[in-house]
Amino acid sequence: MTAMDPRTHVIVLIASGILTFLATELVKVHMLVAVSALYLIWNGLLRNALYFVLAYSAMTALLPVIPDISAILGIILFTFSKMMPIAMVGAALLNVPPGRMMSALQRAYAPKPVVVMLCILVRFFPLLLLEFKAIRNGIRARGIFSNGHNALLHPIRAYECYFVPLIVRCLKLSSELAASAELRGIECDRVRTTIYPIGLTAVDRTAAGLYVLIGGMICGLGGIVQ
Amino acid sequence: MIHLNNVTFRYGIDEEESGPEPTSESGVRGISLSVPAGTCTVLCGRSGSGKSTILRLLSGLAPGFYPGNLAGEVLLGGQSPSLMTPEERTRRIGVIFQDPRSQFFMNVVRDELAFSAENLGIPPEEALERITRQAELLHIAHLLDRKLNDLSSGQKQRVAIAAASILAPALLLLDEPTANLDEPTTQAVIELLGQLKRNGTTLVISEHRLHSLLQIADSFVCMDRGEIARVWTNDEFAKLNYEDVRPFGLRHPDMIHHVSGIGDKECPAGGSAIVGRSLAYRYGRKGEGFEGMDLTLPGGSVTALTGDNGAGKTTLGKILSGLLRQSKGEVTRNDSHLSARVRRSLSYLVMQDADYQLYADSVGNELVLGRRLDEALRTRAYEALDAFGLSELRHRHPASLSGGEKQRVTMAAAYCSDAQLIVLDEPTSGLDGDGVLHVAAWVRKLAQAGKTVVIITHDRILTDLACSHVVTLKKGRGSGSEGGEQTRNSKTARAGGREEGAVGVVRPIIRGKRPDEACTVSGGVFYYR
Repeated sequence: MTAMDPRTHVIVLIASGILTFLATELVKVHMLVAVSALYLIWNGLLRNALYFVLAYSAMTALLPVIPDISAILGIILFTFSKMMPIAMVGAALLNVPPGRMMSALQRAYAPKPVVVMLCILVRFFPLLLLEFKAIRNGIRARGIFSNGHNALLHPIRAYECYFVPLIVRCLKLSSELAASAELRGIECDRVRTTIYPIGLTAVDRTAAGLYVLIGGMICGLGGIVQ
Repeated sequence: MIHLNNVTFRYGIDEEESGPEPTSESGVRGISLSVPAGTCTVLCGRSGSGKSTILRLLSGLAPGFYPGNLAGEVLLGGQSPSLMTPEERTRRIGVIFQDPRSQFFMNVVRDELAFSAENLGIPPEEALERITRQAELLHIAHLLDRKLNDLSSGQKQRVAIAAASILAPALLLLDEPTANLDEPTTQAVIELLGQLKRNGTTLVISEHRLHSLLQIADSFVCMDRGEIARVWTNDEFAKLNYEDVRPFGLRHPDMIHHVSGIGDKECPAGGSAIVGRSLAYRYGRKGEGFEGMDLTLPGGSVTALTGDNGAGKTTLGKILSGLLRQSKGEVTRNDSHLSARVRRSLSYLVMQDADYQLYADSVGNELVLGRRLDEALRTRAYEALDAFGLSELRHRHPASLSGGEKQRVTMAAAYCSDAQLIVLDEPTSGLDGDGVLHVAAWVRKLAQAGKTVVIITHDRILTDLACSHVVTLKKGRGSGSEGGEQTRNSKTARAGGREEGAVGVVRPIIRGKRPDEACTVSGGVFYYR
């Protein structure tokens, strides 16, 4: 399996954004999710595809029920489920090794600060999750809330306990990451290389073309039927 | 190679909010030092004595990334590192930070090694060849396709060294490379550094655990309050005894013989023992873990949980404090079963990194956080402030304290809490000699307050100074077969042990005077939030 160029993912991401906007009926969104799932599978991300499809199915199953309980929750759920195709293609983009992504973006003439920012962003998210986990452990280890119920009773304190250490850690981490990046030559003027092959191949063109074509047909289809 | 001529550096005023620990970093004064090419220099001294500043000056991060005023000359092969182009600097200097979490950019080891080379626009074939060569040299070839987050701390450190040295820089700077490592891993890392040194790399290492570095170091530079206090050659340093290095707050293997006892090591009577029977835990279906673990923690005792990285020390600590539920076995007290939930309410785990456990807006409030403030708690909080020397700091915001002070606050909070079992995770990693002595004293204070203390550590000095019991966990190399419990997890039980379970054994007690505390209860505000 040849991995696709990150630029293909970007093009497909834009396409999925437009298509999601055009897909006004639920059936069309269903089909777009299916196409995006196929795209993920094509990229070797079977597990992600399954996860997203399951999440989407659960949301669709809940949609008829939730608005009766809470209208706002219903709207949130509806928005989330509609955004699913975008999230799925986005996941494909997030799974690209950052080094590969940086060099592909530089080839696409993206300005260096944007490239660096994207790279750090991609790296920072998983780090943030780990930090959050560590903070949760820290809170449990100190025994501040005896159970989850207790945390709900004191929302302000819970907020404080999570966010004060998170901010302190983020400041420290971002400063150290930046120092480390500087020392490892991120500011060099040269064009980056990458140990991964990049370049738009026939596979890329086919994948992007198929996605746009099928997606377009799905959205157009409804129009013809009606 | 390196020439520092009468260098004085002071961190700038605008540094105040961006620096990690502005209070402890006042810079360096009048530093003159020259390091010949291909040698290994070790920077030692108390925390905050200016070791990191020298590394920052050499790497060109100061002034520049860390603004400040520089006087004198910093020359690296005749050039000032802060004036080098980013490319030149990357080619000539490799830097390894203390915390691996904040220096990795990629998810996979191979990508991480490639990072510097990619940044410099080195052709992919050459980059891959360098990666292969460096991975073989540093024995990480089998890790190349692994995810960085899945590696052990020793493996991460080796990857960090490989990533920093991929471009074969002439100078490698290391900030406390062995702080979080156990003895065998430390040894492995030092051998790697020796390998790089033989290949002609100049090494400058800032470190607290000095004696293991004797194998590769050529000279030891001792810093004190921003100045060079002493310079020893390898031979001279090897001959020093503890009394010689004590004024500089250095660690020394003989510390335990000279520091006569920190407080009283006997367990206060009355506390009932917490007993773990045939405990088992396994990460994932066939992941790492341990099984068949027996241990007894007498009330008011201080037990060291030692063993190699990955032997399950932290896991056991988490099980004891109820953060994890054991997959087999049980924990009891007075023969009654303690569920994970009950254990969690009875215990307090002090994490290695204090940043994760400080939440309130002042030190005083931190101690009483999450509890109804009554007269008894208030008294106890004042007591804790005095006992841990925090009275002066009680109005400060915890985030503004230095690393050592933060740790002290978390320990004071443990003292103040109702927890009967206190688990400390690696309390002395990255601490100087004085720091170790202080931690030992505070641990004794916790025990004297009737708490049962468990210390997860591979610091032998702390174990000898503060602990009444030692439990050593061993990581077996047995296959995954079910019958292999005994070989996989045979615990070394010293004299008096029963069967093959892990059994704490009371060791000789060093008696001595207890440090006197002037207990002045002074005013302060605690309010319930």
